[in-house]
Amino acid sequence: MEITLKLLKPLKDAIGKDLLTLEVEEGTVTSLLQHVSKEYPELGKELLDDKGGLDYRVNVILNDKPLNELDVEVNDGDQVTLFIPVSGG
Amino acid sequence: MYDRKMAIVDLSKGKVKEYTIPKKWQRGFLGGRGINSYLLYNLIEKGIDPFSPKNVLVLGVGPLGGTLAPSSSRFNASGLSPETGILGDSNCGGFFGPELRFAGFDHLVLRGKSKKPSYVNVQDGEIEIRDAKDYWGLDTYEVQISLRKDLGDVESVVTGVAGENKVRMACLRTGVKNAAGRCGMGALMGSKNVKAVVASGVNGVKVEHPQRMLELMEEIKDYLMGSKITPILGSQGTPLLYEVSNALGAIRTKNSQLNVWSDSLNAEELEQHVEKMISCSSCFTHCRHRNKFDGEGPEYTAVGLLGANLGLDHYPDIIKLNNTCNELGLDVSSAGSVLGWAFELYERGIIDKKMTGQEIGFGDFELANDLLHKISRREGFGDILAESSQAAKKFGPKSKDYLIAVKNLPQSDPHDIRYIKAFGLGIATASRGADHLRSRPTIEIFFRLPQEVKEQIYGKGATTDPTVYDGKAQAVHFSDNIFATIDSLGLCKFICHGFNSPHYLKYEHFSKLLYAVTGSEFKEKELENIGKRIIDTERLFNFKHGVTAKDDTLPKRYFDDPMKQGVSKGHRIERKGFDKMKKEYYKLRKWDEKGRVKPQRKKHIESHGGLP
Repeated sequence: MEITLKLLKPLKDAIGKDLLTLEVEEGTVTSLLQHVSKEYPELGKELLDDKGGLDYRVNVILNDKPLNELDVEVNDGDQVTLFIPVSGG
Repeated sequence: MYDRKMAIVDLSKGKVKEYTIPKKWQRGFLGGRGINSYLLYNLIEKGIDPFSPKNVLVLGVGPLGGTLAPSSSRFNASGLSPETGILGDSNCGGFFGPELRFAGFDHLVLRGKSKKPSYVNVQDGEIEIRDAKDYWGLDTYEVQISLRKDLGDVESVVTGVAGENKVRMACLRTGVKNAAGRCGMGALMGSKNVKAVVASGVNGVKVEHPQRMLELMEEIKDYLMGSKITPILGSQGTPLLYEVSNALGAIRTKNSQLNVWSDSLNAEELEQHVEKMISCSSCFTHCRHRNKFDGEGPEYTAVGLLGANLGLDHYPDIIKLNNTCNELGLDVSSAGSVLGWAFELYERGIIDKKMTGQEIGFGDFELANDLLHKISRREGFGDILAESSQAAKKFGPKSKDYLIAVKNLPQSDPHDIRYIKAFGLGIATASRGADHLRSRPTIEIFFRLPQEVKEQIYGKGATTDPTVYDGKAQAVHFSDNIFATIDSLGLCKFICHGFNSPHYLKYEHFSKLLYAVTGSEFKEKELENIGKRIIDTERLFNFKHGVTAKDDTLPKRYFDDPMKQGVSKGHRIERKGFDKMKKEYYKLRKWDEKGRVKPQRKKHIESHGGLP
């Protein structure tokens, strides 16, 4: 199935692209992100923490829904957006 | 605790009186915002007009200001706000704060009114009121350049043309972009016939334990640079937030009628217009841009409020509007909010051409730029807009339904708060009105922060879902306290635990830094209590000047209109949920059900004494 991954700054800088179209097997957001981290190790460095899990600072939006749990199924045609929240004035 | 000095400059009498800052004040309020607020509470009478000579303008630096401590550039400018009629207080970076300390003073109170245009010169422990006829009428860049030409290597905080004309949203400026932006402190300086306060000194700041300070700085440098957030802010600055807020569907667009705007304002589109990144005094982060249009900025605030909020999507236009505000001495937040408000009122027919003199509306750069100039000179329709939210008196009562302001202060940042509920509580209860820099619990944006980590930061009962009302009082209470403390130390919030990251400086770091600099021990809990005391002092000040619990509210639109687009579609602030958060917040503050500081607490605060 086809999933679109949207990356915001600075994550997109890791691979020089803000949109990736991925052909993946059925699975969850977790398995999708593990797959992406293997395919794009530079992005993986930004996404994963020391234990190999997704760094809690990385926010995930599945289509229009922000996720606090990643064991959520992804479906053909879904868009997953990843970003690191920063604040300021 | 070593001796620190303050002075009261009586502009009407042309006299200066110096004081040693009482130890009790230093212990109870630290400095900067804390001592400024305590001074306001003591010095400003109930019922005065903010433009009366009886109002005071206080400039104050914290005990870490101007030292090696990280991002120790900040000072506060405070007074009864011409924009809101309540607490006016604005925190500013750059190099002026440290220089004021080098010149020998931590707090400076300007009272009265000068008979003719003047500036106050503070040099190596001496204070003089001088003639400013050669500087009056100059914009904020020109006056600083002229002062340096005439006086040498000085730092100055100045008011622009807008402040001279008592535009209620006029800011103070130091350097090209650094602003004590909020609450009309530039108008207050202008109302006193003062163009600038100039500082220069060669004595530096005394550090009690220099070796310990050096060791501590090594540790803190590694700690801060180890954060994921520091390099991001250092390379992109705050415009990075635009894309984040837009992804959440939370960018105030066209006066909050919409909540998603163009990708053309993403940070990478700004890069081509940036010459380099620069910093304030003693800063690792260097979050600000020097742009290729002879100015500095824009910050996220300008990108949102002079961009999306005005229906503009072309970066050069927004940079130019940002630079115009900087030159004229206008607060970007209020200017962008007030223009957006007027454009919507015109579209709805609430105001018309008879008042505006021309057609006005969103998406017109030339119009926006022209209006900023007219506001600064109070020309035509600009004279009405110069009143900021008080323009509602001319626009009529219906106009208030579309005003994005709390306690008369237009909302500071471009984030539409209807989605993240704690942000709503924060701007509703902030002591200076709708402002994210008083209490924004930014960690609410980290959607995946484990519950236990969130509770460790915000306290028991904090919740992970940003869209529910439970546990949000804790988040705001925590943020309010620590931000009041850091504002009173002289450090920047960008390195504060809870503002950008769960891994920035905490009370334990503040305690170590204070010991190295002042030789006095402050326990972590004591520093948190100082934050609480400052919030209560500001609350007492506001209640003295007419605020009540009903003013702790939000713009009507945030309650009544669901968001229309993107992730946050359908979200609004429900009144019942909001009332629950507010009630819980009052309880945490130990205020009564009407939001009042209790008599015993008032007595405690006043026990710190008046002027020595």
